[in-house]
Amino acid sequence: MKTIEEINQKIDSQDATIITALEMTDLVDEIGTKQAAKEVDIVTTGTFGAMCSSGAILNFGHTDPPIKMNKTILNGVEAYSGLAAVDAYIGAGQINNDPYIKENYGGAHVIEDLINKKEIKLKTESYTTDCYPLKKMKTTITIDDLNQAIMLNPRNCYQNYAAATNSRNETIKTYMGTLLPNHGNITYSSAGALSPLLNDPYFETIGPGTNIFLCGAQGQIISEGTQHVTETERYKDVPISNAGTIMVTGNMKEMQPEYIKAAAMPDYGSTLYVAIGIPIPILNEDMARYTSIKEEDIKCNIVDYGIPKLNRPTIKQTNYKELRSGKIELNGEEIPTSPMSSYKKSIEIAEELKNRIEKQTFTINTPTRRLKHKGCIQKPLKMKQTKKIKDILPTTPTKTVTLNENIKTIAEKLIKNNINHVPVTTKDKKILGIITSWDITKALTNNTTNPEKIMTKKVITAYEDEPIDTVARRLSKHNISAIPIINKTKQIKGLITVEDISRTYSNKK
Amino acid sequence: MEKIKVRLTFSPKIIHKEIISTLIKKHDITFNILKADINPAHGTMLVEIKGKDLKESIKYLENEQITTKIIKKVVQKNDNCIDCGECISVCPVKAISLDETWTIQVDSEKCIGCGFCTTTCAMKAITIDQ
Repeated sequence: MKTIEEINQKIDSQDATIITALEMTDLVDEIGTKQAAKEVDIVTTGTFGAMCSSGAILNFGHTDPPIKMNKTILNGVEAYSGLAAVDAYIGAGQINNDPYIKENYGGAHVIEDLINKKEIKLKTESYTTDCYPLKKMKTTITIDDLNQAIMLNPRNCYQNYAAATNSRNETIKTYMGTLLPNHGNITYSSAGALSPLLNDPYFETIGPGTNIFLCGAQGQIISEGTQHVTETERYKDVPISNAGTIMVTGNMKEMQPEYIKAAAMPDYGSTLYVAIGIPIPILNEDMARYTSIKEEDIKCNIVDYGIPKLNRPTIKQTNYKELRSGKIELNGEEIPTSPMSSYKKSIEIAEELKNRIEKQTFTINTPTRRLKHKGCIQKPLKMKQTKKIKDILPTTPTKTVTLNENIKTIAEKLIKNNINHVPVTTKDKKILGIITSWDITKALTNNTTNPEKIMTKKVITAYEDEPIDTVARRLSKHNISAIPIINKTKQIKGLITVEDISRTYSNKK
Repeated sequence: MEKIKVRLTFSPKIIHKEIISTLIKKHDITFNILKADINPAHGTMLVEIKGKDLKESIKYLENEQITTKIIKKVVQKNDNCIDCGECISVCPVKAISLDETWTIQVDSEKCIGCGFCTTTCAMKAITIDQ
């Protein structure tokens, strides 16, 4: 048993043994947890990943005459300024007001540019009061002009995070990156064995006030982060899915550009790559055991992002050794994997933190309390019942055709039923394709009578129990005007057209 | 046998001419189209040519009013790269990998210039040589 005071005395007299979490794993393999607990004083961790729930509080200083900033725009990105006169909070995930720029320059980029000491255009307007008579103001600022620039991230450093794949037959763009069709790839975001909160799974040494490495500055943990969860399934003490989080803060004026990076996830949004390193004091043998966790012992679920629901189904359980090998076997096929966080940078952060503790430019301290380690669950948000496709599916049986019919009879069916789309199916109603009136026109000019030659074979489909909003988005994404509704065995259950959907929206009160 | 990647830029007006088949017959080369984009304004193609007469082949293409540019590195990584590896699994030819120091490496030999990595990268750290 050691105390933080004793460790600090050893650091003072340059007697302390400080190693990274990777080195600790090797050491414990060699000498065991009992001996390692005696020899090692601090284990450093590190992660450099996309953390959307990040932002900064900025104080601009007062103008003369004064203004009560109400709508505040920084390089085209809105910051929330419903606070006192010249305070604003810029969130990493806020996209640009310019629809052509969107995620390519968002709140994360403003934060990055501030730390890089670049000039930022500030535009603000407000209502006027007796004490704040100025209505509008424009200027440029740098971080040096600001009174305070304080990073304040409500949720960072997830203790484990599920890996992602996509079962749909189309590519999807998510915060877990580009996910290829039919489980074409797997992406994962945790730094694994180096990840800070995985090295102290019950938060025995970290809590509010703990000094941490935050983007090159010495920052602090404020408290549990939002969505902090403790009641998850564990393997060897470590949660196998998303669990604990931390809320952190640090002075942006002390941060270093190499430890922060703004990112634009294509067709998703902007996000911030945040560098976090947490020192774990090895107070006892338990801590030695926790910090020596191996990548193969950190389990992780692979979930299907192709299902646009809150509870995405788990496809397979894996571990970080497998994920980091670059390929995982799924349904008999080898699927390539991609990390979303930089392992190279994570190692660098753990090394840098180690150096700073040794050189005493970083202070180890005792938290004011322990982070909550039990009883925390995450509740979903209840909402009014969303309408599903089955609620608007026409009750009359959907007209279908088979490949045995010629184009003339198909055209007659379209006219007789006053429809523009007809699914092509097998005898047992399994979908093969879709023919539109436009396809019939094409057939005329191409002189073909074979429906197979004109039908669209890669049909975009939907299920009955999908929310209307999800399917409406699919129609607009693929620029199509109708979508066959199928069941799990690909049998046709109906057809929804853009008209059906617009009717639902116009009936909404 | 030598092998090079070349970007061809040409006017769509010449697409009816049998330039490529003549080239293959004349200089006994293999000609592999990796990527092609032809629109009313202009046409570009990224091709891989393998054979003995590469210099002569290029000369022939130039004579047929095709601008050629030999590409050593089809995609290039820049300073924005944080070596995360998001691009690795979208590459259809497995040209991107992490080396033993966890640094991203692009194998130009394998790369076919499809551009999936460039559109996936959240840092805009990987670009196609135009």
